[in-house]
Amino acid sequence: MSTAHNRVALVTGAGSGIGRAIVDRLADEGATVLLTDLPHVIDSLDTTALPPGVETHALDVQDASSRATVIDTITERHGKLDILVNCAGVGRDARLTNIKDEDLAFTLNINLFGAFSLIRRALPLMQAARGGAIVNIASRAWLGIFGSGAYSASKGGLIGATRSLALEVGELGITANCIAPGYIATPLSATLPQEVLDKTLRSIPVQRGGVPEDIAATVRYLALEGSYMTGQVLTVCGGRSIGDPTSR
Amino acid sequence: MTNATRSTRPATALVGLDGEHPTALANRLGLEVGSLATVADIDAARQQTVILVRPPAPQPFSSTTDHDLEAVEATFVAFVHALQRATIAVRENRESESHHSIAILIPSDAALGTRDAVLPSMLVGAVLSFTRTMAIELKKDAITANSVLYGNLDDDAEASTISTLLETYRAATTLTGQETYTSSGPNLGRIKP
Repeated sequence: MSTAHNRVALVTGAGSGIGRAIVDRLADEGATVLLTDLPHVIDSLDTTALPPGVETHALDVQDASSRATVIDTITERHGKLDILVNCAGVGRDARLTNIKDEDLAFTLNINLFGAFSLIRRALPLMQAARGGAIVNIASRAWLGIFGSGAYSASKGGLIGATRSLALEVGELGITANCIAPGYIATPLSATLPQEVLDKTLRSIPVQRGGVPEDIAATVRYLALEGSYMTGQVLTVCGGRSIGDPTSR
Repeated sequence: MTNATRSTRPATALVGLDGEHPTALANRLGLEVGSLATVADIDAARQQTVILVRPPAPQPFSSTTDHDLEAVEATFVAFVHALQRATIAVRENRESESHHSIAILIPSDAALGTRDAVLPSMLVGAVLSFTRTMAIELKKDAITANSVLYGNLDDDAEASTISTLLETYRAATTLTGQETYTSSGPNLGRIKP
């Protein structure tokens, strides 16, 4: 029997990149996985290429009614939720005095408030499962990164809130952890200027950029094997966070 | 900015957010009369901007609402505005030779995590990370940014410690991006955020 047999997982921002790799990995383990993303992303997916056990649902994490619809769907179809992975994320780079309120709101609403609003709605379903795992995809940027104040703050908020959440839901058998990826080759990171990308890759001690599967493997561990680990941040960055992130 | 102008201003501007005027704290920290400031009052005539961030009261996460999240956002936006104001003020007075210190006062319990404190920890986590990023960004402006993680601002001994720390930040041009716990080591034996 597969490790995740009979488990139900919800992954946000899963149409591509890290989220999609997480879906594939959990599905490979035998879980029923709800792949969620914005409606136009879901509509563009080739569902014939999805592994068995994957359901697709439109979800805009910053929209309350959209969050409610997905949770209601899980309630009706499965009656429980074992694994929640908050992977939906955006970033709009700007230095301090160029940060606009609307950009700040956009970033925080998706990366932080949307994630925690979804957690709050999902907790009764995780209690129905008699426990489970919440995995929030943060970023190495939580340690500080030039030119990305709003993004950095959203991920720092995610990590801070997850610590207290872990203390609150531990007695329910629910773990709550963060993964802080460093550079990962995704559609989002592909938008970086080439000069920035080259400099980033040179600063990674293991001499390679990460791939979505690196994060998916970490999610798999936390979700399926890490029941004694909670409130933690696993930094998956090829060692960049312990070296000089600006070194050439 | 001339030295004459600088001398007429208190060295530190203590800024409360969300309309708070932390008069008692200013007194306890031994700040000069006139140190209390609003975001609009922040100017380069001061050597230091101290921003007091008050998180929401603890409550079980399941009882929070989206309105509570909006309140977190409002406080965070006010915090960002204060930093923007301080930075713009310093940049507009580049003839000033001395550096400017920004110090953020945030509660250590919310930073380290406590039960029923998801939203306080969310706000403080965001502030911590934003301040780290600002410490990196503002080096070239000769602005330092440090975080003070307090336990009890009503405690005289701790207030004295914070006062000394703020004085150090005002004088120390190379001290930036640091996070200091001022209430007898609440972080000891714990993984720091």
